[in-house]
Amino acid sequence: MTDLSTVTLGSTTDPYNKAAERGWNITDASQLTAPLELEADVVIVGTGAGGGTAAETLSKAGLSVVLLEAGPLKTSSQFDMQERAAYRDLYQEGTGRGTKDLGMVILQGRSVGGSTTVNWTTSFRTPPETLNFWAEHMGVSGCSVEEMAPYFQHMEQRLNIHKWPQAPNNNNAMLQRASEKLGYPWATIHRNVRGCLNLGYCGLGCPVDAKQSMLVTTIPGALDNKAKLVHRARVVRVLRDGDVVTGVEAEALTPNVRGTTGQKINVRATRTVLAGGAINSPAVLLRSNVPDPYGLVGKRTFLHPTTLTMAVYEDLIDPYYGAPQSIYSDHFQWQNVHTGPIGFKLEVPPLQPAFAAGFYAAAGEEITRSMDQLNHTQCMIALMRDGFHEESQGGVVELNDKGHPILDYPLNDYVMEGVRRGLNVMLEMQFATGAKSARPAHKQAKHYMSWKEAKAAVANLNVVAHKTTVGSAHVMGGCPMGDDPKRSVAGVEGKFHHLDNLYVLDGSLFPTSIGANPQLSIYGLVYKLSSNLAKQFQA
Amino acid sequence: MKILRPEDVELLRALTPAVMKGKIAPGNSAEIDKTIQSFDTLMVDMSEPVVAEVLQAFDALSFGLSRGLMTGQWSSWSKASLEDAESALARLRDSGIGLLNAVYAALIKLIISAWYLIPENAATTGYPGPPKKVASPAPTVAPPKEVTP
Repeated sequence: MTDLSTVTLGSTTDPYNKAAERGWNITDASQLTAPLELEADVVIVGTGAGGGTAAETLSKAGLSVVLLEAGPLKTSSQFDMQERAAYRDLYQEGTGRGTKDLGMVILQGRSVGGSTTVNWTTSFRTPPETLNFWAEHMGVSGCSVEEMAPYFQHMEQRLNIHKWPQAPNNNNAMLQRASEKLGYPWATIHRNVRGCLNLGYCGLGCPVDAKQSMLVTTIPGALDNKAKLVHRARVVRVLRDGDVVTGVEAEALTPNVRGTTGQKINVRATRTVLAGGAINSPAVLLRSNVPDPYGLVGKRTFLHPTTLTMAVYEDLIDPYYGAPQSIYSDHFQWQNVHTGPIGFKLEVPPLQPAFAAGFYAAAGEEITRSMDQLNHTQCMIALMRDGFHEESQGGVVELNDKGHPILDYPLNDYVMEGVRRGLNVMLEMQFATGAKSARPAHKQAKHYMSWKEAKAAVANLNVVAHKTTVGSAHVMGGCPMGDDPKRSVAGVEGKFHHLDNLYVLDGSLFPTSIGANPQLSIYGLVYKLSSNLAKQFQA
Repeated sequence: MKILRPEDVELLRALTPAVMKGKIAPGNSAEIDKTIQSFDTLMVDMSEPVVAEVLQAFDALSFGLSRGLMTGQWSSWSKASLEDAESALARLRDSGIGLLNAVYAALIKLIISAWYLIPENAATTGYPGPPKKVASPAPTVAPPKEVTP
């Protein structure tokens, strides 16, 4: 691929450059010098896939909407594709979010647009196997493949989701080639992009607004409909009058969103919508001491625990350039939906240097020599489909003494057996396509020179948490939906079972992981639920 | 330093040349200090709970009995050789205690990230860097279409 460092990009596309002209109401809470009191039909906590979709749907129906976001408003004019600024400004805890026992690192967005500002644009409808499992085993009604289809279709049109028409970059092409070689089915990924320049910087904020994230689609749509956006405002708890939720209380954060300024923000609203994503939405409920008679809030939080292998090829791969994800294989995903060993999806990630350097779990010459060959390196990832088998109950969101959420998700033998299988599958695929060497992401591993050597070495590795690199970029669950309050936190319309006027409209409603990158699953479900919520006001 | 304390700097001075072996020579204090400066900036960019956890781990790694038991380094880090640092890292890595493996992972990841977040260091991987972003509204030049390998 061409050296992209010689390419020059302008900043003409940033919709926020015309915020004043368009009459947008945007408040940076870090600049408040007095308490802020707002009233609205609906207050929405969070501006990611759930909050953005709900904001546009509800404001379009003529409702007054206030959007609260804990992260900062960062837009394409500021996206310079440098890793340091992106990780600092656009990710939860500066990419330092991990599970309680530090067994996994969690990548989750934290700016206006949430994770959609930094995701890799991969768009799948919720797989039929998952929707059927929810209907048959999780007590979820109204979410069959047929019932969901029109909502997915609407959001696919809204966000220009389409099959990636260009050739995959070399990193993805290798997954395709390996699948063909070994007889695994593969397919081209659908992406939410318009006028994509195939640069490869989706994870650092799209510099040209080609990615149809919430930041440039539904949030501008809601602002055009007179919604108010308050950013750098962290919601502490929901406000209650008996069994009725009446809004939220938030605190203003400092410009770098690492501390509080002491100013309070209160929003009184007829309906309160939590859309902070899995981890943060359950955390608001826990901080609010809401009734939880069956102890389900924050339980069943899922991550698609993901492991990886790195391989070095004779040819240039340039894995930091080009659409990050364009090819996938589900060959190992659905053999058993909820019985037997865990299934996994195969994809590849983009490899900007500092991000990639964290993948190896190695130090000394093992890491520096590996990194010297990054331009010749290909990486595969296996994403475990957690939450379907009885031995996969996911993690539990807890609060620390300061009220910050912590996810306790021990990696048990059931998940780690899948991780071991995934490592073997990916190493074989890399050697099958002519890798000179390949290395599983394990602290005691090294580069192996053949599939035979790698297979023998992995058999002797202790593939356990803490020794093996396992991470996550998909947070799901924690407020599972369902018809039965004994088994779910919210109903299938998104309403919290035990208080009135409180809704959860985000990925925390999922009763299992999705088994695919979750953004379109969130868009479709929240479009359905927020459309119904808008109708309640008209009734 | 904004976050790192003198004892943290002493620890990192000992460990950085071992973690970045092949890139930083043990005697190259200018390069070591530049990496530690970048590490400190990285800590500023992390959240309060993450910083608290890292400093807690540094406390255990820096002082007396816990330092010796965790890393085998019984004298202070200022006296540690490159081999001492390598053996300390290997001990954390190979320990049967998951928490020590996690401390190892977090420590090396932060040092490695601190080094590769410096753009000229990232260039040693063969990465030419990102496209140039110009602040003023200028026409965007689309990159040439990729050629299938």
